[in-house]
Amino acid sequence: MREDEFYVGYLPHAPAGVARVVRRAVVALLVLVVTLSVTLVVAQMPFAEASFEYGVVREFAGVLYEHPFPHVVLQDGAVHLLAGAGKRGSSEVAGHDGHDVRLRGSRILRAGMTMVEVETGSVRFGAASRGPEEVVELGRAALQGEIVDGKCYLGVMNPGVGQVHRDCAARCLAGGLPALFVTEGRVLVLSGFDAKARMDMVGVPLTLEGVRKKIGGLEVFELTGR
Amino acid sequence: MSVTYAAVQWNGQKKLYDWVIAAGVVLYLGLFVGLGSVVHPQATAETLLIRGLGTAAFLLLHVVLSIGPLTRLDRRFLPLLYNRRHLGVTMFTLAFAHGVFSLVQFHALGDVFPLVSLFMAPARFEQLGFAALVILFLMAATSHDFWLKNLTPRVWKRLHMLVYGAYVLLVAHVSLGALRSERNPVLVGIVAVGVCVVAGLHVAALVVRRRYVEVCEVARIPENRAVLMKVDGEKIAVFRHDGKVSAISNVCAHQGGPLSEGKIVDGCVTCPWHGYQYLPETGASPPPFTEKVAVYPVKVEGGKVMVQPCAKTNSM
Ligand code: HEM
Ligand code: FES
Repeated sequence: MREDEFYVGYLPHAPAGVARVVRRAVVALLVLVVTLSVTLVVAQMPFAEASFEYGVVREFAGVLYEHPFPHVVLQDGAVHLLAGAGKRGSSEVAGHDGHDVRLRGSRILRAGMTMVEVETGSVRFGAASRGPEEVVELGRAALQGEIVDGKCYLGVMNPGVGQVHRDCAARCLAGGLPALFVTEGRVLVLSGFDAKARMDMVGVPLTLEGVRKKIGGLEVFELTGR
Repeated sequence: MSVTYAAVQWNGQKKLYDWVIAAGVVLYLGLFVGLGSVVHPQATAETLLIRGLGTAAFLLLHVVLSIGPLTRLDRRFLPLLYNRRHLGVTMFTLAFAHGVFSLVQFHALGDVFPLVSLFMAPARFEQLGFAALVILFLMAATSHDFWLKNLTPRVWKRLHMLVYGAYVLLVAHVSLGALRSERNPVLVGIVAVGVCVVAGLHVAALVVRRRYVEVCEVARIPENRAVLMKVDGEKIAVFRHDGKVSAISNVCAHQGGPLSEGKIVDGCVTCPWHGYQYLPETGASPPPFTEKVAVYPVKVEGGKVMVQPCAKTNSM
C-alpha cells in the first residue's frame, strides 16, 4: 500500500492497494465457503436406512395389545407398535387390551420393525376377542447398548440416536412413546424403564441388566436391576 | 430527544459488502443442503437445514471475530470492518433460525412446554447453545448507533466483549454435542483449526500492539522539543524534557495543529498554531481545560528512544 492510501467507506471507490487485498480476502472466503460445506457434507456420519411415510395414511385392522407398549397384531401376524402425534404415546388405545381394533395411520419403518403414527380420532374398537399374548422367557442377560425412543429411531428423525438426538429421545420417552434398546445390532423393546425419572439414562452407551422375553411377536428386554 | 442517526448511510461500498455476505450465505446453505440431500438421501430435510444453519452461523462467527485482529495486523483489511455489523446481524439471524428449528424439532409437541423441555434436557449442550444465542441476541439488538449513544460507548463496548463468552459457549456446544455423535476426526480438526485461527490472530495482534518501534537517538531530540514519527499510519510526537521522554499524538485537539512542531513551555506541550497546552505524561490539558490527546508508551534503551505505536488511552 502506498504510504498515503486511506480507506473511507462512504467514498465510491477504495484505493487500489486496499481494493486488491479486500478482493483477495473475499475470494479466499468464497473458496473457504465451498470447501467447508462440501467437506462437512461428506464427513458427516452416514444416515441409516429408515423412513417415515409422512402424509401417507393407511388402514390397519387387527388385535390391540397394551404391553409392554401399545401394539397391534395384524391378521397376517405382523406386529406394529403404535405412536401418538408428536412426542406422545398413543393414549387413545388405553384400556382395550385384547380387543379387535381398526385404525388409520402412517408407517414408520426400519430394519424389519414397523411403527404406526395413529391418526387422532381414527381408532375403532370391536369385541374383546383374545386372551393375553404368549410370553416366552429367554433368560437373564446384561446387555450393552443405548436407550432410544421408538418413533424417532425407526424413522421420524434421522439420525434418531446418539448425543445430538439425546434430548429429543428423553422428551419422547417422557411423553410415553415406546422405548427401544439398541444393542449389538439387535433392537429390543425395553420394558420397565421409568423415562421421566431417569432421563439421564437415555441416549448414552450403558449396560442394562434384565430378562429377555418374547411377548407375542415382540422381542422384549425387561429391566430388573438399576 | 431529536437526534437522528444517519452517520453511516447506504452507499456503494456498503451495498457491495452486503451482496457479498448474501452470496456467501446462499452459496453455503445451497451446497450444504443441496449436495447433502444427494449424498445422504436418507437424511431428513430438517436435519440438513439445522446442521447447515448452525455451521454457517459458526463459520460466520469465526469471520466476525477474525476481522478485528486482522485490521490491527494490516490496515488494508479495514474495509472488512466497515460493515462488520451486518456480518454480525447475519450471523445472529442464521444462529437464531438454527436455534428455533432445533427447539421445534427436538422439544416441541411433547408433554411439557419446549423451553421447559430444553432446560430439563440431559445432554447439556443445547443449553449452552441457548445461552450463546441470548448473548448474540443482545448484541444484534443493540448494534445500532442509537444504542451506542444511549448505553454510553463504555457499556456498549463491554456488552460487545461478551461475544467472546458466546464463542466459548459455542465451542463447548459443538464439542459436547455434534462432535460426540460424529466419528470423523476431520470434524474435530476443523473446529480445532477454527479455534486456533481466532486465538492466534488475537495473540498476534496483541504482540504487534506491544511491540516497541525505534524512533531515534535521544540526543537527536532537542531539549523541550519533539521529533515526529509515523508508524502504521499513526503520527506521534516524541518530546524530550527534564531528562525524560514522552510520546503523544501529533494532532492537536483544537484544530489538528502539528504538536511535534510545538514546544514545551512551563512544563506543557504547547501547540504551534493557537497555543493549546497538554501535559506530556498524560496528554491532558492542565485544569480547568479538558482537552486530551492520546499518549503512547515510550522508553529509552541504550540511548535510543522506543515507542509503542498503540495509544494507551483509547477514546472508548
Ligand atoms: C436455542 C439455542 C440452540 C439449540 C437448541 C441448539 C441445538 C443444537 C442441536 C440439537 C444440534 C445437533 C444437531 C444435529 O447434529 O442433528 C446443534 C448443533 C450445532 N449448533 Fe446449535 N443450538 C442452539 C444454538 C446455537 C448457536 C447460537 C450456534 C452458533 C452460531 C449453534 C451452532 C451449532 C453448530 C455449529 C452445530 C454443529 C452442527 C450440527 O450438528 O448441526 N447452535 N445445535
Ligand atoms: S490547532 Fe492547536 S491550538 Fe489550535
